[in-house]
Amino acid sequence: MGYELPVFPWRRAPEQDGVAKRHPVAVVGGGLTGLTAACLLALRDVPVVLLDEDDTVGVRGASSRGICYAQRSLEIFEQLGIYDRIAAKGTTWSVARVLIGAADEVYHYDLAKGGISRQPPFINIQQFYVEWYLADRLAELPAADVRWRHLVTGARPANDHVKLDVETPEGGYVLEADWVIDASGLASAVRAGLGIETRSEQGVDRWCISDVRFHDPVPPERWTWVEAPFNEGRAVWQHQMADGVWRIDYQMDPDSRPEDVASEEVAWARLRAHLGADREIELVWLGPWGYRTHVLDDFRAGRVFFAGDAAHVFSPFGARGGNSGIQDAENLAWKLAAVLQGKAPERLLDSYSAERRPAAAFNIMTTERSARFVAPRSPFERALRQATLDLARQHEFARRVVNMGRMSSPFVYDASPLTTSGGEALPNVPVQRAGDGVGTLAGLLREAGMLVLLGRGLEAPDGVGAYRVGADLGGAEIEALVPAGAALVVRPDQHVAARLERPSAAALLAAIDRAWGRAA
Amino acid sequence: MRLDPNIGDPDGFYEAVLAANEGRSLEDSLQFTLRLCLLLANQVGDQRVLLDAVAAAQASETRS
Repeated sequence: MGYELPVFPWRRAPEQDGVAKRHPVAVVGGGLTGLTAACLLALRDVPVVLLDEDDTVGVRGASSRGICYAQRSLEIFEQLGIYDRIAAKGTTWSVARVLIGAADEVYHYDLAKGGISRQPPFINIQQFYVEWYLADRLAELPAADVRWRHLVTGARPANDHVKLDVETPEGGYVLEADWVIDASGLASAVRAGLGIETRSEQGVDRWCISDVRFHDPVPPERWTWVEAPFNEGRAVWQHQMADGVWRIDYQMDPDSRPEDVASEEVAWARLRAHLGADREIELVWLGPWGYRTHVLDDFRAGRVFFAGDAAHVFSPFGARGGNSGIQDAENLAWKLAAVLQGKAPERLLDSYSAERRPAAAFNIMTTERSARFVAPRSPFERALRQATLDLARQHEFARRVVNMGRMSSPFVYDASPLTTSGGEALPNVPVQRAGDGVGTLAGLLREAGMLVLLGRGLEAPDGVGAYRVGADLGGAEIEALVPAGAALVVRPDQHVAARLERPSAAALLAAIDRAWGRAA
Repeated sequence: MRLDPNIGDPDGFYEAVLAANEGRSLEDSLQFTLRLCLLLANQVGDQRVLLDAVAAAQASETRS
């Protein structure tokens, strides 16, 4: 209904004509996670082959999946050179309103308040557009070999590499790779091939998406109804994406049948009750859905890494699915590149699962709490929610208890083996080196790999290249980020590996070594 | 009386209260909630704050 998607050309692989080749890295799956991983590797000049079963973007035609891209993802897109395209196409938003009754506001908040990153808190855009831009970018990078309509059907570990079985329109072949990133989703053939079982649990809550186009202007805000009278007292989400299309998501009776609630007739009746009988609207996409949850015990099996939905799935509260997949990709890409280019020992790769599995567990906990607030399981839970909402109308403290989704933010790697102290992600701020012009943290990290940020009153110890936060930020903002006398070791993914007070050169170098996985 | 955010981990607290009430009848949960209310009142101590809280709870009743 109304989208035109690109078609990427299928090509025979050299392997199909008897040319044996060992690939340093193969990425399985051309979704958000796989494309981001491949782009980040290719940008670092790591040869990477990406295999995708389809010849376009999106799943099952134009079905919209993820819509909210969080600041950390946007900063990564900036690094990849596709941020401007996303910002131009998508809807930048920061105001969220929580409503009860037809249009009775409990409270609202603005996520942009106090933000200092070059990127906004969120941009909404249909997932297939992001995948499309990533695919276009990947096609420009000489280190990338993208193979559309190459379906991976299995994986077998060998001594010093992995063999992937690949099916194509012109027969099958075996692809050999030193390392494999499995980003092929919940139903991964790689995982199955390796005999790794996972059990996905289905939630009881049922939803129905109606993506619609309004013909009158509506402010680009996220509106969530806790109990909407036009939806039989259940929750509703309303959020703008690209092309003037709005995602409206209706919570359904848990006992309803998906085919009933997603019939066009029922959907239109719901939309009319919500938006008015005379409102000019166009239905762009319609689909019922429910939650699934799964997480692997280990995101690595020998030479295979699992990322995105292949490693973890949870409910969409707070937009943590796609955004966490993108962060998986980023976490893995800089480490693989460093190991393959001899900057770090292979041990660095152990930290991928050590960092990203706890991040996934945190996301599962967080989304389950939101899901339970949105769907109370007993009269007591409903009463507690009502009491919270009643207080939230007047009191800020109770607003923090209302939980219609905790928006995706980067996980803090404070327990990681790479972290000396800290672990939080820094925003993409302007940064400068003495004598150099001002760059951004994301831009400089791409070149420098790992860098040191100095607070006021601290000089760089001998042998350490160091930067300062750009003076075009206010003094209080700089102080909050890097306090006077402090030095931060910042990793390629903008996370703080060490936050040290007036460190010696030796202490700083030890923290840098540890962040590269060089510490014993 | 404090009305600015002061609960260290609101989501964790909410979850703990839900867990403590799993499987209880509504009457049972009422008793639980009152015990919790008295325990928290004893933490607060200050009579003026307690009476302010009683008044604030009255003032934010469900709108219908």
